[in-house]
Amino acid sequence: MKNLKLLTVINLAALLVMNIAFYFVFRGRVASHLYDGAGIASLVVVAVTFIPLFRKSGIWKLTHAKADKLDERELALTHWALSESYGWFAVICLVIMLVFSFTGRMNICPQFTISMPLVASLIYLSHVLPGVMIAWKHGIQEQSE
Amino acid sequence: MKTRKLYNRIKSLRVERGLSRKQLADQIGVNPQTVGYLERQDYNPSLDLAFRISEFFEFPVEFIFSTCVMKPVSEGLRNTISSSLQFN
Repeated sequence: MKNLKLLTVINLAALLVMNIAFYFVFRGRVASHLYDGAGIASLVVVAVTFIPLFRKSGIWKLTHAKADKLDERELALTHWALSESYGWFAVICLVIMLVFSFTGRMNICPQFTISMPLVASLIYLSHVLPGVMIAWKHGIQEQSE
Repeated sequence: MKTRKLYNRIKSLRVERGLSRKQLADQIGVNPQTVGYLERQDYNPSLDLAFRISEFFEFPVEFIFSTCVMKPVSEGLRNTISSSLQFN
């Protein structure tokens, strides 16, 4: 039995920490190995939690399989997860765009630009978000007999 | 639309026939986890899957699935036996 909800929280929190740490590294605002270390450590946490959360639980296969490989319950679940994650991903992207627009226009932080780790994180998020929805809904994955 | 919960006898029929979830899943064309969901009554099957299950167990659909909580088969059998004994 694996607690998928806890793994989901750790995975997404590590992704957020990685973005914050790499933001400072890429902007060169803080010349400190602390941020390098924090970014790399968070990346390792994302990779390590990805394996039990998505690969070993079978969620990745569920959300990335062709429709003819799934049974009716899995199709319904995948359909629900994809539609939910589509909505959430749109909101996340719009909030990021709004933050960039707001900080630029208000001259709060004009050097705040979209960085490569942020784009990579959004690509990663678009792929894992349907799985996150399933993991969050079911919480505990039951091992099949 | 909120759907009603369906009760079923899948677990007792599977155990009675000495099948694993995987074996039953292969026979009715679903994933073993789906059999688990059906047995726990967490998932209502489609009409097609319900008929596949009833054809596999060779029982009418209404014997396997119900909208009411299902009594054990032995209880129904006991009632039938006692009523037939009264007639005799």
